[in-house]
Amino acid sequence: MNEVLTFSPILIEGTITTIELTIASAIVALLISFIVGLARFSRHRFVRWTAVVYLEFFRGTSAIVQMFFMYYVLPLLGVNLSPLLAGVIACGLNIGAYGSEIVRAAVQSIGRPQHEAAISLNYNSYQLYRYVLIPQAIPMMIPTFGNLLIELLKLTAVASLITISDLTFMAQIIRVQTALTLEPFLVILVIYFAISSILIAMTNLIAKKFSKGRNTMQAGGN
Amino acid sequence: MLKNKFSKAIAPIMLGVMALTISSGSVFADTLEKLRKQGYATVAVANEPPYSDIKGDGYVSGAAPDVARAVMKKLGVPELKAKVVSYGSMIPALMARRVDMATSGLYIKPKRCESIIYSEPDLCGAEAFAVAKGNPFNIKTYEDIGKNPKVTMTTCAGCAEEAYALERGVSPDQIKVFTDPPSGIKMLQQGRVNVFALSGLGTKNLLEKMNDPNLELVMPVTGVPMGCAGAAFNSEDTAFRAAYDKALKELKESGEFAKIIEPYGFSTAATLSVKRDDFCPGN
Repeated sequence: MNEVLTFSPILIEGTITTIELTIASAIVALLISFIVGLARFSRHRFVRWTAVVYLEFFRGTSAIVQMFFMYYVLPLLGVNLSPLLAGVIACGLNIGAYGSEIVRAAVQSIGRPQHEAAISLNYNSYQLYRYVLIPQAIPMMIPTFGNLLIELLKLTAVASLITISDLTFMAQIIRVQTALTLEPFLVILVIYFAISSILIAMTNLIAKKFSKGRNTMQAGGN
Repeated sequence: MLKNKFSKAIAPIMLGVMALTISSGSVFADTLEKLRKQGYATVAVANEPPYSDIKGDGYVSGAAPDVARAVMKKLGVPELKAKVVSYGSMIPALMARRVDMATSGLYIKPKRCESIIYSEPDLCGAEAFAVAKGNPFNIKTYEDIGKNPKVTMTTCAGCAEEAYALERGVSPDQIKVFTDPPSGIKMLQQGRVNVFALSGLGTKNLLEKMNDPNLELVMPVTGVPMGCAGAAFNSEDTAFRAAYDKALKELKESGEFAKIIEPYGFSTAATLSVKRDDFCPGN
C-alpha cells in the first residue's frame, strides 16, 4: 500500500482529470440532450429525422469506438482535437444521446390539458415549451439525469484508452510500475465511489430546489 | 498542427462512411525545426519497465526515454514530454501526429515499417516466457506451444510476441491477449493461461517485482530473432529521422549510450551488432 501512496501525486492529477472530464462532458451532454430531445417535437420532418439518426447512431455504437474515431481517425481528415477535447466530445455526444430520450419522455409526459390551456391562451409554440411544458418537465428529468451523470463518470474511465491521464489510466501506470493489482484498483474504486456520492448528493439538492412549490416529484407528473 | 478548413468542413459528412485507410493530408515542412522552436518533443512511451520507468510524480525515465532524451538534447530539443500509450496505439498515434515520435521498445518489424519509419536500433533483447514453477508443459519455444493445443498463452495485443507465436504454429485461439503486463501475469497465476510471453527484460523485471515462488522464467526463448527496438517516426519525417540517427550514432560512439542503457540491464554489444536494415531493408 505504501508503494501505491508514493504515486499519490499522479493519482491526484488523475482524479482532477476525471472530474474535469466529467463536468465538461456533462455540460456538452446536457446541451445535446435538450437540443436533440426537443428536436424530436419539431414540425419539420428533416429536423425530427436528423435527431433520430443522431440518437440511434450514438446510442447504437460503442463509446470506445466513437472515442477512438475522434482521436485517431479525425486527424487523418485534418481535424486535430486534443485528447481531452476528443474525450469530452465523445462522452458528451454519447451520453447526450441517452439524455435526449429523457428530455423527450419528460416533455411528452406532460398531460394534454396543459397543451390545450396554452393554446387557449394564444401561446405560440416557443411560449408553450418555454413557459408551460419544459418547466414542468424538468423536475421529472432530474433524477434520471442524475443516474446518467453517474454513468458518465464511469464512462470517462474508457477515455484512458485515448491517452487521457484519468484515474483509471494512472492506476494502470501504478500497476505496471509496481506489479501490484489489488491496491491501486482498491484506491481508485474508493475515489470513484466518493466522486459519485458527491454527484448524487448534488443531484438530490438540485431536485429539491426544482420541485419546490410543485407536487410533481411526489405525484410523478401532474 | 495544420488545420485544413475544407477538410474540417466536410469531416462531419464523411463520418459515416469513413474507413481507416485515408492517407494523411497534413504535410510538415520540418518537424525537427518545429520541435526546436517549441522546446520540447511529445513522445509516446509504453508502460513497460525497464523500457520505461514512471515515477510517482509522473516523471518518465527508463532505458528508451533516457536514450531519446539524450539524443534530442544533442539535437537542440531540451525537453521530452512523455505520453504513455499502449503498443497497439503507438502507430496510429504517430500517423495521426498525436506524438512527434515513439520510443520504448517498439520492435522494428517489417509490417510496422510499412506505416512508420525507425531510427537505428537502440535497445535489443532476448525474448522470455513466464510459466508455472517446474514448467509443467516443458515450454521452451513458440513451437512447443503450437504442438500442444491444450496450452494457452498470453501476450500483449499487437505486440511482436503475438506475431512470433502465430508465425510458429500457435493457433489464434491459444492466444489470449492482455491489456497490460501485470494482467497477463495475473492470468498466469490464476491458471487462465499456461504461458506468459514478453520481452526478456520486461518479463524478468515483472517477475522480480511479483516475487511469486510459483512462477518461473524461461529466458532466452530460442528460435525467435532478438527483438530490437528503435525510435519510431511518422513516415514523412525522414529528415528528422536522419538527424536523429546521426546524433544516436554519436551517442553510441562516445560511450554515453552504454552508460544510459546498461544500468537498466540492456546489452550495448547486442545493440551495436545490428542495423535497421537487418530488420527493415530500405525503411
